[in-house]
Amino acid sequence: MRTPRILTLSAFALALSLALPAQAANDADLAQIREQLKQMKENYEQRIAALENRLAQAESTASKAETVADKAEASASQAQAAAQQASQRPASANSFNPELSLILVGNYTNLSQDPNQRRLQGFMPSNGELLPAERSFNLGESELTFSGNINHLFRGTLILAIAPDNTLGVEEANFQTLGLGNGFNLKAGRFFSSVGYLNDIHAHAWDFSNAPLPYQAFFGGQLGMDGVQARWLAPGDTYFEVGVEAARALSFPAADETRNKNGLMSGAVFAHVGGDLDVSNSWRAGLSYFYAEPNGRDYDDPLNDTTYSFSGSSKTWIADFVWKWAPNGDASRQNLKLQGEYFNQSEDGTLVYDVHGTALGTQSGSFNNRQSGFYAQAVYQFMPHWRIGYRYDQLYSGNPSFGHDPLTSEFPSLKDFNPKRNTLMVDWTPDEFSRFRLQYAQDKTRPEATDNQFWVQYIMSLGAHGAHKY
Amino acid sequence: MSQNGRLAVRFLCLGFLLLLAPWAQAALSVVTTTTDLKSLVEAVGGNRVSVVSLAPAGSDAEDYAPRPQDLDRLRDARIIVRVGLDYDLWLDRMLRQTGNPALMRGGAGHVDSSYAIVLLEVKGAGLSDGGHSHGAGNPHYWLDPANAEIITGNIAEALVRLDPANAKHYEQRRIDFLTRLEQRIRLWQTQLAPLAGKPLLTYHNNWPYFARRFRLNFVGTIEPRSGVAPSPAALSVLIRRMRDEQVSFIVRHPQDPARDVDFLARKAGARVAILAASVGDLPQAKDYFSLFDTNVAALTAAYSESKP
Repeated sequence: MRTPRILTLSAFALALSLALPAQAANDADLAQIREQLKQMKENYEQRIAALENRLAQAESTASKAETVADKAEASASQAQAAAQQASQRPASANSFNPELSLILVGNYTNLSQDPNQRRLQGFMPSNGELLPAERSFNLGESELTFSGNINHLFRGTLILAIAPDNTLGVEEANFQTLGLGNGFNLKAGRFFSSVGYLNDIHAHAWDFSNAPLPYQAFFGGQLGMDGVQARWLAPGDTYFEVGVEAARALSFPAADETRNKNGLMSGAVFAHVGGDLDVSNSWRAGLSYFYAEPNGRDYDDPLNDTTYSFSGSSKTWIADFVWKWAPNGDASRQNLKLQGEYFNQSEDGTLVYDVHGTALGTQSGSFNNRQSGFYAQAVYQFMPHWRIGYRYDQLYSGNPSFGHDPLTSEFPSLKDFNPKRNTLMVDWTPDEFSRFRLQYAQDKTRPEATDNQFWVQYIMSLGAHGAHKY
Repeated sequence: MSQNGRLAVRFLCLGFLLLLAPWAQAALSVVTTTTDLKSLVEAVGGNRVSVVSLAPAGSDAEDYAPRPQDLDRLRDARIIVRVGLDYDLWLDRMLRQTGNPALMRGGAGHVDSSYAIVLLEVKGAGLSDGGHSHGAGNPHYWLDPANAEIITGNIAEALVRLDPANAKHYEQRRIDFLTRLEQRIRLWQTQLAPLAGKPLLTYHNNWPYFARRFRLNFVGTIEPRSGVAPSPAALSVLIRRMRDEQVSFIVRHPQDPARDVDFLARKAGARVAILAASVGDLPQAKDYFSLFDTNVAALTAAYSESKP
């Protein structure tokens, strides 16, 4: 307010200095001077008012600028918060360390034949999974998975299986390398062997509720390994991958669990090729070989009250093939998957057997046999969430050759027979985390009866989930 | 072989080598998980990069089932550009299988383009009420064209890191691209201005980023949850709602089921606009620019039809 005051004072000073000579002037002059003074005064007052006005305006602009600055600051802090949020949020919700997931499985089973009489006629009992195990309601295996990157070099996985009888099993516990480069990968620990197609896929991700007959007959369900695996993905336009495994095999036909020796026990090699024919069609084919030297592989045949023990060599060949069709590469609406595997197993060695209730007691003799089997299946997703599938499996028991001509009563369960089975399924998958399946199988795995098996199955998964393999 | 024949072969070889000469400076091989990212990498890289998208055009990249040959595409790639946010979760298994350390998360060639994007519909970490931990937020962030600045920034950073000789080229191309994009965004904003605040319905929740940029008012989704079709009861509720709130058009993706959308549109007297959520979803949406051109045209057409 300094400026207007100075102006006012100087205006009066000017007026006074002008008034002094007026004393000498006449009235008319005086009046004129007064008039002029008045005008000047008015003039100054106007200018002062204008100045005051401009000052007020300037002041309000300043406060406006302040508001704008405040706003800018506010939005800057907002941006900062957003940036902070952006930098703090997890790159993916799956980036929990470790990732955790849980699979819940159960079923209701209806069987036309007594499950206690079930067997694969012509095949040595593998003591493996022969689902459906029991009639009525059954709990499946609950699976708990922990996995995560250990560091930039390794990834670890632990998969626990809780069986319905409250026993806890380690299904997988392994680490694998993350960055060997040049297409190399190593895995060590407990894992499912990568032979064949279905073997290293967990049961809850299968397209049918149970394993195909060749898997049941030759691997006792699935071939697990305690050991190491090395694989190499070849460069080039066509998919080509080879791998080797050296391990203690955990299931039929190896029976390495109880062996007491250094060095190699069981081994496997496999090779897979594949490619895209066009954007809608792709395929993969493979050849695998598994070698084991079972020593004292024991099993009971309660139906015939016999105990067997096999020692020798066991060689299994597997050829597998998968064809996938998804219109325009989009499998989410419609897709078709054709899949088949052929197994050929030859065993050569000594069979010790004890047929209770006969006068023979424990006998021993040479034994060799070549057995084979295959399954072929088609699964079609005809609309989102719904799939239908058909599978045919068949086994060929071959003609075992023994050191002597066996009596019919000696090996009733090894008498040659070609078990077969037709399976139909339809499943509904409301989203990727839940699935309900209705399955019917016409099971002709024993000569005396056909078992009509119905089951309804649920598969639920919670938590982080990984992608499935091709 | 005669003397002439040999000469001819030599000339042919020479010609072949000359043909190859421009490729001698091998293009940087980049693999993206989606077609949108492929288009953006091409925008920045130009002829110095060769780009392949794993999920083909018109497919659902979120549910993509990788094929055997994809492993070979990845194995020889220098850079992998992904959407992140668990949208392309299927990539992780493949990355492990190819075992290329540079492409792993944290490696020099791994580009998560969601990095530094301000997310919408952010979910808390952990097991959400959906029963699973799928994504940290809505993953369709490339549908806000202004986010292309951040995405191309992430891409350019990796290109420059792995191919510093062409750094100027990439930076200049990115600036040119963003300048053109800025003009187009203003154009699209003007074209969509009449639709601002008008209530819209969408089948699938692809559009929050797009809606925010263009001031569109999506009042709901037709599917109650992602991937779940609406029940007849839910449809009738929607019809009533559309009438009450005067929803005059519905947006759907070409892959979304037309039946439910058309039924709703018929009952409530609304128009349907078919929008592409990714490059290649519609034949006109050939690249990142035409993706928005197509969508803006479809929206304005549906809007002008919906006016009495």
